[in-house]
Amino acid sequence: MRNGALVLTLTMSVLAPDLARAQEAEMPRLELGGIASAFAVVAAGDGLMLVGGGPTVTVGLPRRIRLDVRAELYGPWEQSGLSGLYGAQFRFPVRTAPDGAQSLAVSAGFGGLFSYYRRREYRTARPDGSIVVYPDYADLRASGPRLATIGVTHQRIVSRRASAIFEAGALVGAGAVVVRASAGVMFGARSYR
Amino acid sequence: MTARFMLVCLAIAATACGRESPESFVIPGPTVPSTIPTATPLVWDSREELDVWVHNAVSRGTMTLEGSGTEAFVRLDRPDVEWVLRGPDLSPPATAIRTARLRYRWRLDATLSPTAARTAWVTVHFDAPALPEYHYGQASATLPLPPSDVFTDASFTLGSYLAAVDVRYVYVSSSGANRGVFEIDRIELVR
Repeated sequence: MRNGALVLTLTMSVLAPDLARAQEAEMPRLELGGIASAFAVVAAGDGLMLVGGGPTVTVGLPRRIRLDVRAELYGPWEQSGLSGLYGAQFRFPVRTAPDGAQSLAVSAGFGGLFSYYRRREYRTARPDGSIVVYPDYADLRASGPRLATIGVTHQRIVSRRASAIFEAGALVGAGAVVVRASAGVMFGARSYR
Repeated sequence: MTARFMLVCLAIAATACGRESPESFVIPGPTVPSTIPTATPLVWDSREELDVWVHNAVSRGTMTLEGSGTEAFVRLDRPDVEWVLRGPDLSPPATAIRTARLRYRWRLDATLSPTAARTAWVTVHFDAPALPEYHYGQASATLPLPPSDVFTDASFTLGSYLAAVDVRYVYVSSSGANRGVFEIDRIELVR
């Protein structure tokens, strides 16, 4: 109990000055971070649920529009390969707190799928002493950007260098509608102030 | 900067990349030179003709040559252990082959229970470079051979989806049989 209070106190002492500085928060031009997502296929397939995550790069554009470029790996994962989603989306702010520490934005963008497959070399010995060699093989494939993405994003500055981001949205295309919920952390290339 | 960044993103997104799997290949096994011409083309029947099947760098198993002349046969005392009988390299290759015929005798160990497995699973492999790619140069035919106290012919024919092939060599193997004595009296390639 005492330890919990100590941790809370320390946490607050670390965050409080940053939150105070966020009185006049301004988003940095460049942010790097990562998000974790849960996907649910609702209009195709058989109700597939997926989880994923990956890096995000955010660039500030004029008129406080933000551009997110991201790649997410999603599972369940197979040992021999990975599948994922790449995409870019624009975030248009609809509401920002007076202190700039919180913002709500609608997003729209596009995306596509990629997959990576790796097969290590293996050999099959035959009874006559001959050996069939299947060489090492790696393959990265990406589909065209056939998915449209829409959503709502909430970003909250949590410290001088970090912000939390929460998203809800949908991906539409390739005969499917996928609902998605994401949460992540972004780090500013310079401080949020 | 922003426009350039977006162009790069679009270029990456629009690229459908990927490459074909590299082709598999075969490291050949030991060669088995043909020592003598056979009395009848593509038929190995006499002791001298069967000798090259038994004594080479590939054949393995507990096997001996018994008898003489055309009465000779290959005797396998441990058919319950994996064995391989490799034929000589055929130069030039035997053309338009679909079938290998084995004259065999298969006598089970008398001490086996009446319910013991009685069939000997024998496979004939045809090494033929012109086979479809996914065969990696070899096709095979497998038969479950029933016991026989007298020599009996068994024909191992390639699947009907394959055309007759030009064969560089043939080998016979078994991955399973019960205890007993398995004997091969004659091996023939049939066009």
